[in-house]
Amino acid sequence: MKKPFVSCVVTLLAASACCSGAHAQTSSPAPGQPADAKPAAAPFSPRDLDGIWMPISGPAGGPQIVDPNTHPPFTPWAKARFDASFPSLGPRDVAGKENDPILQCYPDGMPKQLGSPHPFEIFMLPDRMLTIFEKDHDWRYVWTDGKKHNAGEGPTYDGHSTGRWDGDTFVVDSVDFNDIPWLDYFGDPHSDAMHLTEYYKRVNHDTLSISVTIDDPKAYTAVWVGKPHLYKLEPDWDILNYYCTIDDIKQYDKDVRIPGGAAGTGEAAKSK
Amino acid sequence: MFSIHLLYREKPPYPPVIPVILITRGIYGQIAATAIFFSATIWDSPDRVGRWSLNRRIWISLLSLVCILAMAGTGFAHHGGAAFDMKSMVTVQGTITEFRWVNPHVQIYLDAADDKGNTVHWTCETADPSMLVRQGWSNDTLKPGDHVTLVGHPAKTGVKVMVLDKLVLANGQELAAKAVVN
Repeated sequence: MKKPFVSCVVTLLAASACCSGAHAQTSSPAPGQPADAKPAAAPFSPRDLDGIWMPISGPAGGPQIVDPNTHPPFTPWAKARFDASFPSLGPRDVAGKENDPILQCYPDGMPKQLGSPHPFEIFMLPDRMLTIFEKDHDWRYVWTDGKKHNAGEGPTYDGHSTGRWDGDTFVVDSVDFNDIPWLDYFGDPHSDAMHLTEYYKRVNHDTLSISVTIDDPKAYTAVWVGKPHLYKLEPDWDILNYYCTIDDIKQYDKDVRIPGGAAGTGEAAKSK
Repeated sequence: MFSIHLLYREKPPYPPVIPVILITRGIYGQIAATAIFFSATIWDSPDRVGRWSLNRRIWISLLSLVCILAMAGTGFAHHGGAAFDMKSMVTVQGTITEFRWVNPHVQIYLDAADDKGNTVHWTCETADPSMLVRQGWSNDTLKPGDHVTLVGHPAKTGVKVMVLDKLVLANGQELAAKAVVN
């Protein structure tokens, strides 16, 4: 009698192990401190973040700087925004009807840009960290010269950012965002009250870890504490051109996205 | 594991099964967990002499396997696949009619012949130009008139649109078209 039960238990344990492997980064205990990052032999300075970094593993197993499955409860404002979203990824994806603002060439903004599956280059300068993102050729300053958050510049997609070292973790503090971009590809919103904190930790020569916390009382009833996203150093790459233009987006929509995703909408039949 | 134990031992409505459903990610995982729930409802206990029938064991093992595959699949899925059947692959040979080297996705247009010799027009989505460059492509990799083979995932609707996995040139050279390169 017990053997079949034991067999089922063993099988499901294997399933659990399989999934925990797929989501290995989600089990890390602290921001910027992935437990399973493999040490590399090459020497490195933990305060040297320079280089071209490519996302390799997000907390949700994909191109997300936050795990959408772990968001705190919505406020009514955020719930209305969420319900109006039609994502291109996740359990609520709606093929052919997606309305992620990036599909109309709006910038990803921070922190979504950090999860986008494109490389970025970091330059640690004497008074700032400069990051150049390949996607949209977006660039960003994080001031390290003691500058305070300015009033009156924003709101903007990337916000206003200052940074400091806490041990070997570079901590970025940002405010003054607009509320246009989503936080992730699943449709989770943020508001113009978002206070974003990022934690950069060079794990080894080839690996950078970034995690974020999102304090947005207008959208979420608690602080959203993210888990580490890993990036691989790509010393042989260059940052190449990636611009979004509305004409190319419209052509792509007409030829691929709308007809390819028109299940249940009848749009494919209309366009053919 | 206590919940899973109860799943196979207690009678309906099996409230402890709820965590099993919740921990499965994505629609396939939840369908699998729901299937396990209902299978447990039907085959709710060992027989009178305390033995599980062979059919019962096979059934539960198969459902467990489905659950494994569903959870593993959703764990690794990371690319936008709402419109495309990422579990199917289609291979199409034909002639390039247009090659659009643009963001956010390079597009390839190709004419192929169906079984009856009729021309079928395919539209193919690939990664962005930067990612393709890192996989050996360039803006003159293709031109109208080239004979190539496209291997990719078809649209779920049956419309002749695919997301490219691999390009095979006329000389046999293969070029990958991953959206994410590491």
